[in-house]
Amino acid sequence: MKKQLYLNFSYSKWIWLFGGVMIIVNLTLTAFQSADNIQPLIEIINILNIIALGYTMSSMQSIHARIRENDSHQFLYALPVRKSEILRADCIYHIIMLLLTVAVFSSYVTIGHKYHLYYGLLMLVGASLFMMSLYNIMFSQTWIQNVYIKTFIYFIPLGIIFMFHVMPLNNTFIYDLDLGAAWEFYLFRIPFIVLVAGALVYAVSYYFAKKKIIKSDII
Amino acid sequence: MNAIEINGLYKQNGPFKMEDLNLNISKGYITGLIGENGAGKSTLIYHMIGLMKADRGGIEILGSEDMEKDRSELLNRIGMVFAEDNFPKHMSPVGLEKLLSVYYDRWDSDIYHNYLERFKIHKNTKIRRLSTGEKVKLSLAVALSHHAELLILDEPTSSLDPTFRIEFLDVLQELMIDEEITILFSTHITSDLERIADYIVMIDDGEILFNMEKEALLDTYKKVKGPNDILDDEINELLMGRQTSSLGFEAMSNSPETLTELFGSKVIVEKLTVDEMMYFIKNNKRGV
Repeated sequence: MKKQLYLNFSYSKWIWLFGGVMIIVNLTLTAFQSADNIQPLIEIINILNIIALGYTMSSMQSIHARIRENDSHQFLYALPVRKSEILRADCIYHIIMLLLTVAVFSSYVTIGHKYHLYYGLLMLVGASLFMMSLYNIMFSQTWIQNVYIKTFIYFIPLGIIFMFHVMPLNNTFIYDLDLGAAWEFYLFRIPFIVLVAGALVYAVSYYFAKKKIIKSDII
Repeated sequence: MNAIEINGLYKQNGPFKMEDLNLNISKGYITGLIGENGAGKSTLIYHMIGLMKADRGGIEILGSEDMEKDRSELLNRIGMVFAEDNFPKHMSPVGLEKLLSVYYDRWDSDIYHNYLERFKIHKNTKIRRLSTGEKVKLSLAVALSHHAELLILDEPTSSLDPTFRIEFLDVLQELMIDEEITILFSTHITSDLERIADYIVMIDDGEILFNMEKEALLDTYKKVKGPNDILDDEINELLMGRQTSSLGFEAMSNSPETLTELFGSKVIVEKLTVDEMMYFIKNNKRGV
């Protein structure tokens, strides 16, 4: 399994370097946020953070897309490692990259003390686990076939959550809105439910995919 | 003793079907695998290295019947050269070594660098910038650098220039001095097999047409030519894949002596090439 993790990390070097750079940039900005003339920079930093989070959350898909693009799956998947270990390494790798996502996000929210956005992060991480479960099941049967379509499907709920949960959540705090119990439940309770459910589904899907992967053709 | 034993392999892959295929590859020899495009050579090889899973039947490879359970150990013992360029193109041969040394338990850096130098491969150039021939050489260097007991070569010589093709075959022959190594060599260039193979296996439409020792095969079967007027039902029984024209017939036969006895100098008996053998066997299968 360590072998496959090594492959994943070497194939996604630039993503975790990008994530690391964003953490340093965010923390530097936090240290100097009281300085004048920082506001125009914040807009660029917001966009860069969104891009970094997008890449860290979909790093597994980036690796598979790169393997597909290089057409190197025959070679890489004929290296000496068991199929079930490939799956396990990919699952663990996604969790590690979600932790990196949390780290980048945590450094970002310190700029302007936007800690309320953590509810949005919980929702995004939960949805990512849900969608990654689906992705893993598909991967266990068809490996990297149609990887671009699978990546697009993975991003759909994340995009919806960003637009219809993270943005309203931010507005609620910026404008200090009291939207009632239903919105309270949606904005502040559902994220925990999604996260726990996502984690459970992710664990169950791993065992399901593990059974499937040993019976599937890689190419 | 066999390095590979395939028993009743069944695989349906789209319109292509491999039905109850049986094949033994002897340990310590070079076996050539021949067949047309789409005959099933690569499919068979993909089963051997665990890239494909049989619907039914079993493959015993290097003494193991469970490819998934022993995949890591088995693929450590198998060196693979693919037909197409499958390397991660963003890496250099040196960068590739870092990855491979993690995967292969018995990776030998000295051997790898020796082959890179011998084959004149630029160590620090990105693989995408290497020529097709250089990529095949790199593939061979990789396959030979982890002390593999079984080398599986899937049409490696098709994109090589003639000079290096000969060197490539020499490398394989050098390896055979140590008879612990087994080589399965799938190719279109049958002259390569005539030069180095001990056994020849022909596959067509997912079916093994023959698996014989090369010398025995070429001693048993001969090309015969003669005039059309000697052909009748009994003579046709002795011929395979017969082709006729106004000038006469041409066919393969395993009874050339009988024909010579019957017709003397009217028939000409010649040595077959592997290409011609493939041609006549295909004709015979089509019922020509």
